[in-house]
Amino acid sequence: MIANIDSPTPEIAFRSEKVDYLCHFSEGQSGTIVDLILEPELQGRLMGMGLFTGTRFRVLQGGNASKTKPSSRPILLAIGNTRIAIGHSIASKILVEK
Amino acid sequence: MDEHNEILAALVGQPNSGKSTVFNYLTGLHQTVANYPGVTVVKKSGHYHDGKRHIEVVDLPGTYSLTSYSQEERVTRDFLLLERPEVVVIVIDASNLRRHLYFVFQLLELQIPLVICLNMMDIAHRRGFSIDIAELEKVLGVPVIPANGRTGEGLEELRRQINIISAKHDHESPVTWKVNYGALEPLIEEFDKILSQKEPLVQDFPTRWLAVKLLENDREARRIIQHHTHDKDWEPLLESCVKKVEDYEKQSGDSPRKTIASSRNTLAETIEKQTVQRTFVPHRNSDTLDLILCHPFLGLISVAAVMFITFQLAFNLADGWTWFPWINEAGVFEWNTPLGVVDSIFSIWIPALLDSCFHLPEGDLHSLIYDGVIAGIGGVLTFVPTIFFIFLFISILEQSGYIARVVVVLDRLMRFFGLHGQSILPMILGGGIVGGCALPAVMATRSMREQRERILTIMVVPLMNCGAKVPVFALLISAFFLEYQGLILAAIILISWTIALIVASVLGKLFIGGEPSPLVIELPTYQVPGLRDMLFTAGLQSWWFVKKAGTIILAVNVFLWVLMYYPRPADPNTDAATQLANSYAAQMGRVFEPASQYAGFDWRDNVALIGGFAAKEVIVSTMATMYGIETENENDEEDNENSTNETEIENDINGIGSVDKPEEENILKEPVDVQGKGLTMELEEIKTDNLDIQGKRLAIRLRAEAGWTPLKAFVFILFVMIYNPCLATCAVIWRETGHIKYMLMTMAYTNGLAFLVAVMVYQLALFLTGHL
Repeated sequence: MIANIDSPTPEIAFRSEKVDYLCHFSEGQSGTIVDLILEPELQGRLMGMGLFTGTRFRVLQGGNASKTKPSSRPILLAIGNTRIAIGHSIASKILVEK
Repeated sequence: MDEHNEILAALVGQPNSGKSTVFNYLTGLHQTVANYPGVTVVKKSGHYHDGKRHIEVVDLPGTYSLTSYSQEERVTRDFLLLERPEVVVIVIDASNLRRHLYFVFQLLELQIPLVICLNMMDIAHRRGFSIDIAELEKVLGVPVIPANGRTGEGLEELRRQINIISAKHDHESPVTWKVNYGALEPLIEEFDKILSQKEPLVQDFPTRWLAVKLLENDREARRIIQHHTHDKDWEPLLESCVKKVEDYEKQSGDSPRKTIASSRNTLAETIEKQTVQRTFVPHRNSDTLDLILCHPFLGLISVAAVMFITFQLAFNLADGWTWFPWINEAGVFEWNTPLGVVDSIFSIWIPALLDSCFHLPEGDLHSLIYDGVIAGIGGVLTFVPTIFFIFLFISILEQSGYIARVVVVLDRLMRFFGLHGQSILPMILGGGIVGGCALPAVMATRSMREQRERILTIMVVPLMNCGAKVPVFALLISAFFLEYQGLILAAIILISWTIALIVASVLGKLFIGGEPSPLVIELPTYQVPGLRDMLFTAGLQSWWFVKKAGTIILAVNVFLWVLMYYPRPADPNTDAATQLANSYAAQMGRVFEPASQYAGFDWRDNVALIGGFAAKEVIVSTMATMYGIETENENDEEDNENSTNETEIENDINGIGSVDKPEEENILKEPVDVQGKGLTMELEEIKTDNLDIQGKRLAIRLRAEAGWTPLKAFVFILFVMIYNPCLATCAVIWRETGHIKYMLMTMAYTNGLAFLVAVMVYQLALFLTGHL
């Protein structure tokens, strides 16, 4: 996997068609976190909140499957008993698998 | 007191773990709030006694981990490493054990004496979790105390454990605990071995923890190694570390940081499986509620409704509804407002008491005590009812979990201007819908975690139209814009929001720097707020205000009294207006006149504005004195010169031309051009409550004054809207940010901007109307 952290849309060689950015997930869809392509501070905070590689989640609200015009609304995730809202800028740097 | 009877305990935990509730229970009313040196992170500490022992408890900032990237994390970690508390209590959410264990491991690796407070056991039970406490204690090797912070259940046992652990700490080492980091273990052991030979590093820090931190590429760990080794042999060590991290990344395809995090998470998962059983999975209603409260449109409506209700309740309970039992000056029972009671105590009861006890003659000392000190203390304490009720409602919003939803709904909008979704609450409290108070609004930013956005919010809150500005607006609207009251009021609200958002955007880019923090927020479980905790928080906030800001405000009030009272005239019969015209404040007003004339203000307006530095309420009363309204009552001859003209204007303002009714009832009775429910209410307030008889007389006088025109009135409104926050708010800005520079920056930009806007609008209007 090759990732450029500074780029707003990191160049990723996707492992499979199932892998996508979190911002492209739609409401009700579930998935697994593949990678957090974020600066260390945010990575640390997300991990502290329970978002690790391999963590299962479900999009409760705010998702939008459209790749041409994705929603810029915050995304509400359910991770176990935790509910987390993530801004679109971060969701576009989280790789997830369906 | 024996040295071992002084115990330092630290309270740590992730946000929303109920840490503050536990802290409130442990320390009661014995709390202080300050800032950590050099940062804007709030430091809360308190104490309690256990027999002979004095236990100092420090409530460290809530953090999700112990890396060194954010201010909160650095403050927490530095405190634990450098202050070496005898006991560290970590408060964790029992219903989210795995996630919190991840944080617990990081503390265990620091080899500090730890007690785990397994909070929110009630929620865990409601969600069907059953936790084997004994097994958890065995696995982690530290005491685990099940508790419910809201009811206080388990917290006495926590106190007992703090006592036991702190006693042990005198002669026993804390437990050494290790996470197995798999493929990284050889590297960790290698670095641990090297570091354990370095003096004095090995005595001050756990070397395995440092080795793990080096692999995480932690800047603070590198700094610690540099500062705690005798020679320059840290350089090859750090270079070798960088190389080995690179090699590991090439081989494994992942960074050591991710491997470390993943190992901790896996272990947390294992321990959770070992100690937690879920007997049933209840339906989660909060997700359904979030569909409404976090919805982009429905959520906005909810925010507007909740804010409006909160605002109305807080301000009406403080100074709207007469619900507080009181004995008035005539000795008759009455219902009053809490603020009215405080005002009555300081304006009537205390002066009367002093009069009857000391019989002070009129003069400097009399004026200092009555007009300076008593009025100053009264001025400070009149804020208390408002602060109390505002924090009572903020506490409800926070404890219920609603504030996090507000952030989600408004984040996109506020972020556009460099602010945070949570900025909306202080801005509304500060007078976003006209008639709040900037002081509690600045204090209300404490709940904002992002420091950049918090400072920006603090700096723009004074641009909102607090209740103290309303009498000035009411005065000038009544005098010059009676037919356009609704329009002008709407314009005032719109202009202040526009200016605040633009200023936030500019300040954020030019002076505060940094990028707006991206939105990552946990939505806590909805809870019914605990009454004890709510009252406790509101009471403490009020007390802190009186204790800290109050002293500064009192000193400044006395200083302003000196400016307006001295020099004393030779003739003791000189009237108030003449005395004020010769005061130091008036001299300052004249100094500013060459500049202020470009905005249309003469020296008398400047004196009123200088008075407004203390409190905006002072502007109208100072103008009344400057324009001779007080003298008017005493000197009928002088009054007669303008009487015909003023009666005509008064009739004009009244719109009904009647002179039979009392003046208070007649004045400003013109039907209101309704613009909407909110505005109607504000207009009603302006007409009836916000101008006393003196203000109404002043409105008539200003309209008769040659120098006052609708243009000048509008420019004056703009100036008052923007210029210097009252000194009480300045003092709180200083205290809340921990830096005088933010207070000075706020004062500088508000005054500069107010002058600039006033001059531009005044001169442009003169130019366009051909009067320039």
